Amino acid sequence: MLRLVLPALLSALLVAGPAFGEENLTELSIEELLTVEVTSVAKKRQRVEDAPAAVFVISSEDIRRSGATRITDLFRMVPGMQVGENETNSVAVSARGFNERFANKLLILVDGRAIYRSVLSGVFWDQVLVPLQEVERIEVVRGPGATLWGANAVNGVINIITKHPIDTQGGFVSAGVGTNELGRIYGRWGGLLGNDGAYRFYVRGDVREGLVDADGAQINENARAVQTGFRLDWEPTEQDAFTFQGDFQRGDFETIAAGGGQTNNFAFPASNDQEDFLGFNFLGRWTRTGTEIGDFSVQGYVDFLERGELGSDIQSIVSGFEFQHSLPTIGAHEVIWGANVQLTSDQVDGDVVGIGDGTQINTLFGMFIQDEISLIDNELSLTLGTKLEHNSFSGFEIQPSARLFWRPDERLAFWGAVSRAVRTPALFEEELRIALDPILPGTPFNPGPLPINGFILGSDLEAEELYAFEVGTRFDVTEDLSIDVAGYANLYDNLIVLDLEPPVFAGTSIDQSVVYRNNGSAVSFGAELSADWDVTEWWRLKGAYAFQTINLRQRAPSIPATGRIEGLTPIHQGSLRAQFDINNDVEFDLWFRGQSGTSDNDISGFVDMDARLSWRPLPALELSITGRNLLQAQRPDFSQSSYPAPIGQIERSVFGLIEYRF
Amino acid sequence: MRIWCLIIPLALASFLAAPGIGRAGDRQDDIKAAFIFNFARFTTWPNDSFGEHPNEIRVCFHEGHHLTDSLTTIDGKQVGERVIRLVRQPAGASLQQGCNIAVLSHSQPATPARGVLTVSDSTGFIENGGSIGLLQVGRQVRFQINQQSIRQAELQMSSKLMRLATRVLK
Repeated sequence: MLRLVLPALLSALLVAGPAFGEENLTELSIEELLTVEVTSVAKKRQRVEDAPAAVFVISSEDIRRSGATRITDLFRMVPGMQVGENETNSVAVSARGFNERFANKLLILVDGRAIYRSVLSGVFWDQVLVPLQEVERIEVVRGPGATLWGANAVNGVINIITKHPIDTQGGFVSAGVGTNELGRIYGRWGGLLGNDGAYRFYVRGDVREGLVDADGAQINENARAVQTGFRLDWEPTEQDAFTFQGDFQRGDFETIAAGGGQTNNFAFPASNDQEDFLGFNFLGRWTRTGTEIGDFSVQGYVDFLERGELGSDIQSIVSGFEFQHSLPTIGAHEVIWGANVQLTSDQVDGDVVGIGDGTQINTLFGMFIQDEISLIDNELSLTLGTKLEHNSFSGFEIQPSARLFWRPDERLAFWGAVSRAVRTPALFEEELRIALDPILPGTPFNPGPLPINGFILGSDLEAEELYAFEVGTRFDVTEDLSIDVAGYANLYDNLIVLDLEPPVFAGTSIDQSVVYRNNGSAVSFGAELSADWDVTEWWRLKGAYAFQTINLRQRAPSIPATGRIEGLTPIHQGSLRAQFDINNDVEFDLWFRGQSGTSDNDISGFVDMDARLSWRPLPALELSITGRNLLQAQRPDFSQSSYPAPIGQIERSVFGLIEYRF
Repeated sequence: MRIWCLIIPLALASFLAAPGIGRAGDRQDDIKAAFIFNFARFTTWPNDSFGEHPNEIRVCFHEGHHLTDSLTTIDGKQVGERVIRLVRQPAGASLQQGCNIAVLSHSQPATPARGVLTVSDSTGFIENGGSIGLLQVGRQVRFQINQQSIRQAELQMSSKLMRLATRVLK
């Protein structure tokens, strides 16, 4: 059937005449005008106010005024996102619950390149070293984005979009020192290539002290990272745009797994390893816009990563090719479709954690189609779409969604959505084989006469699936106050959990295995609110609040550790940013954050605060000082449950920065 | 998997064969006009510079200026309590008297006059004394500011505009 429909659709396109919805440029803000000619990424350019989904945009202004040094810190301003620092080089990031050291239900893209790793179904955040000074904006979509983006965009999609090189012309240097961020440098140069091209290249480096134990002693050695990269854009005609970009990085850090059985009654082998990472990536994209049959883009990329993790060596190569076509509006229909191929090659070697059979090669084929149907012009629209994918882990997956958007008034909008999304099993969940240290007889966990040998094993798994029901509203109360509310009910099934197998008598010992199986299901509810209020010309407030609750069930007996996921998500979470423009040259910012406690990992509720003061003695020079986590000397931020490890605490810190543009 | 062998080449073929609409540069000119409208929103003029037309921001340019068509998209737009009014002058006429914004072309000198914001998309405009230069690279349009020229014209420009400029000449 599909085989017949697609060529027919294409030939229909070829005869369809141009029918462009004209955009009124004079209604765009000056910031929007600067980015109106996009050459990236977004599957479809849409104003946030008109998106039938829970979208939050972190602007370059938000980034600058946050004083954040790492990209993960920025997500703390997004309602419904959880960020937890765990170890010096491990940050847990999730949306709408399920936060973990290796959180696995979020898809992250940097300029259209997915940085999700199928080794662990997640992201190595310490290797996401995009310089914040080059980020134009970060679009965060909570809730499933699978219809457009494919598998693993289950609880959210984050799109990190860097500036066009024309916006980074000339030189820029920045240097900072601090009590925790010991040193940080960044430099870039940008220039023009004739009348049609622009480029930049940069180098950045940093040394961080990281987290401490309850007595204030560092739990890890300092972590260090350097990255260099470039971006080149060339727009030789009115319609064609080419982008080439690439980065190279190196770094080192220390990981710790505590010995003993704090977490799950098993004696996990202790390890204390100095690790390093290396990575590089390259992306090329060609977009052709404004043709009679719509806009096209093709892109290809390759991304290489190598790192140590708990004494194992991970090597992962992802390469992908994507094609996308948005059709001109035909009647009430705005259709966009695309296809992609992705090839991954993964290898994990190690004494403790290893994945057998050498290199694992996996392929993924996908295609999507989406139609936005205007039911009442500028008032009511219905968006229908689906992604059809085949991956080597779980076979064919269909991920459809239906979204309704209603704007009864210029200042008021409602939306609702129903969607299905899947999370493909991680390589380690299928291939893992960990032999734990034996539990000796006559000890509290093993009163019997024989030693117990513990194993954590992978198995052949299906994808996790989600049916999500979402509603939301946006309301401009006045010109200066806008409110965005979203609510959801998520039904998860086939969740991958660790099941406790019956013990097996093995002569002189007892073998006890826990095995990854699709035996979990969960229901979660939540509500998220964000509000922006321009109180006066010089004073702005930006608030966010999220409520959420998760109920996880396992069909078979399990070890306690995996049942705790629900208890790692705070029920209440909030953020309030206040930005003051003292005068043209001086800015003052306060950022309050708080959350309720999470019982299962013994994190108590907290309120904390950052403060930033910046001064521009010259238009090209900015000096700033940022105090972070000021309200307590130190406190635990998050504790993971994947393996036993010390709980790191974050300390009050101060960071000074000098930036010069030339 | 056969279907992929069909879809991808087909898709690529349609891509390559796609003919252009051929509105060469129109859209970029429209973007430039929209920028000029925004400059009006973020500029403060001396109180006495509105003379006989207290409710208008007068945007002057010469007959035949290549942005003429695009500028009509901002004619009559509201800026605070004032509206944008386009004023076409014959070639060679002065664009200082009775103008709040002068949109210049390549051949015209850009000597700052009190209360007149000079704008142009010609190369080297701000280096030659113009207030705001529109820069086009490929499809991208950005702007550059000459702070000294703004000062000489006794205009005030919001810090937001200064921050968003690709380059600020002191």
